[in-house]
Amino acid sequence: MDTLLYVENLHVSFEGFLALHNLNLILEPQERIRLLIGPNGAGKTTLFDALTGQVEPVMGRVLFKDHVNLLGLSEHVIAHHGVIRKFQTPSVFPDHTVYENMVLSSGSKHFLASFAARAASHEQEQIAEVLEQVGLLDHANELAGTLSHGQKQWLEIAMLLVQSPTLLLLDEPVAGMTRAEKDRTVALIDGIVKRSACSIMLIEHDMQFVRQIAGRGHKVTVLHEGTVLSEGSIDHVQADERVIEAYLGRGKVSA
Amino acid sequence: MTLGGGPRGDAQRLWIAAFGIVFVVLLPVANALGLLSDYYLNLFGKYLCLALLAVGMDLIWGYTGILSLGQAIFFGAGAYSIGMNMMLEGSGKGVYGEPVPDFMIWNQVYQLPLFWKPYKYIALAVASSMLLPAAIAAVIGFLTFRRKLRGTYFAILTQAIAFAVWLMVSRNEMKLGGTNGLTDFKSVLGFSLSSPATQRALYIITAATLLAAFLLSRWLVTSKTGLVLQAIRDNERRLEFLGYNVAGYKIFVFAVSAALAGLSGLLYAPQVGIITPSQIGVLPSLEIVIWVAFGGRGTLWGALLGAISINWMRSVLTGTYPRLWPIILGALFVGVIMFFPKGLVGFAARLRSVVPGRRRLVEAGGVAASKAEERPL
Repeated sequence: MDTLLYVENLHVSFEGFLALHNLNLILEPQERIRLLIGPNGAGKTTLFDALTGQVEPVMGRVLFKDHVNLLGLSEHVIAHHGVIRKFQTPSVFPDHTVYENMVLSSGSKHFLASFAARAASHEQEQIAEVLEQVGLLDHANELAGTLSHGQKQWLEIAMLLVQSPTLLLLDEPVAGMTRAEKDRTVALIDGIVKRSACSIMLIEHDMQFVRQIAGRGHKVTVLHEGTVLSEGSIDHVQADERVIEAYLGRGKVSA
Repeated sequence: MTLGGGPRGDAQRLWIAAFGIVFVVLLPVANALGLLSDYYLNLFGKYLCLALLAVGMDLIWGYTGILSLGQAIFFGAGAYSIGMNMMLEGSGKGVYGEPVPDFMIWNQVYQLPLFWKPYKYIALAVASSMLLPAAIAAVIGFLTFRRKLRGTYFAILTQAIAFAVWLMVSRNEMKLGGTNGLTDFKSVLGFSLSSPATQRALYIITAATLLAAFLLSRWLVTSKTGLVLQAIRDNERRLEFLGYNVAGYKIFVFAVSAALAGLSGLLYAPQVGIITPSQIGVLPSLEIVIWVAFGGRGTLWGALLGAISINWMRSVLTGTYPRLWPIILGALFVGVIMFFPKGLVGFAARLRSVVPGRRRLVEAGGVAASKAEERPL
């Protein structure tokens, strides 16, 4: 495998407005985390939408693991290929318990398989392990709707992890969290990098959080007006004149 | 804490057993001994048929959150299927002595229409009563759910279909008896319908079928499939991203609810003795929604209680205040939605929390299980 994700010349149009244009992005297989930043309206979430079958690009090519053409596939098929996404707002199933949320996320999603028992024992083990990883094991039998905002975000990350993803797309995972919760999330993401094999693509506005993650040597891609403006280490992009210009009027890039 | 543990609901089983003993065994025995009149047994048979219809509605609406306003069509498909069989069993013995049902003779139809022919055989009629509605639902579901038509649009569509079907069946050209429907059934499988023994047997079959359908539905909603169905109700988009083919599940549950409605019609027609277009249109479809809402949507007991209690009230009140009934029904619906959104079952659960002394008693009952407790792992 040469590339985990290969995006070439991607164009997304909303009734004539080009939300993405000529976007090129390559994720190497050994790359564990890629941070996506950029001012509002830069097209970060739209890129995730395009990768997960939410919007249909007018032009471009998206290859996953060199051979899977993601464009034109429906959401659940993309998920089956291992590209799993977390949305901006926590979207857990509020009327199901934490454990039930995990059962829904794990195991076979095949129609007939769901008639069998709720979860096989190896699934239960995996669920317990992932819940422990995100610190929710003690809350397993509580309704997900009663969790705090931060806990819901972690539950959602747990729901993604239990699916053994290849590429995890996280859209603003720490939005609305307290500082302490953000720090825990950093530790959680460190743990994922250590314990799981997946790669993560992460959108975030919180620059302190971005610096914390990127400080571990991960690459940052800056999007602006639907295309890649700059790419490299956090120090490199923050020193980039064009990036500073793009952020002008919206506050500085510094944390 | 054990992961995924929780009360398994032995009390629930106790109630189901009690329900089975009372309705499947005690009532017919009482009737055979002359303690319960044939009239009342027949009435209960009718209620239990309608409860079956409500259980199907609860699966699709209460658990999956899809409001189908066309359930009565499926009920009608079942009732007309068996009705046609019974008509043919009675024909030939009619006044005109022709091998076609009398109403066709009155409409100058002297040859049995082709689509009536399979209904000469009871096995085909019974199969048709469940498979035909399931197939119709699957086709409607296939055309709508895969195109992501949902929510209100689906409700309106099913209502439009109910109206269209009602219009079609009402016409004499359909050769289904027009607005008069099918009636004057003489026998089923050779057993005279006027005999109390036949009616008692039909009642027992109905009660046993309801019990079986209830257990099957209960198994379904507590399986992982049930988790998926309830997740569709709460956050359908999210489920798609988890990798579920949501449309497939929706088509499945719609077909199951339609088959249950057809089964309900199959049992209803021989006991009530008539099926007309007025029972398969828009209004009867809406009424099913009211039963389930009144009993408590999203709980199988709610569907059961709602259907039986409202229809019992209807029997009592239409006798005394026939004109007021629609108003009473509407008021009940509005009142329940406003004050007890979880219906009778939710009301009972609230009573339990208000009166701590009764807690154990009701809990042992389990009828009052709140939504969370209703789903033991």
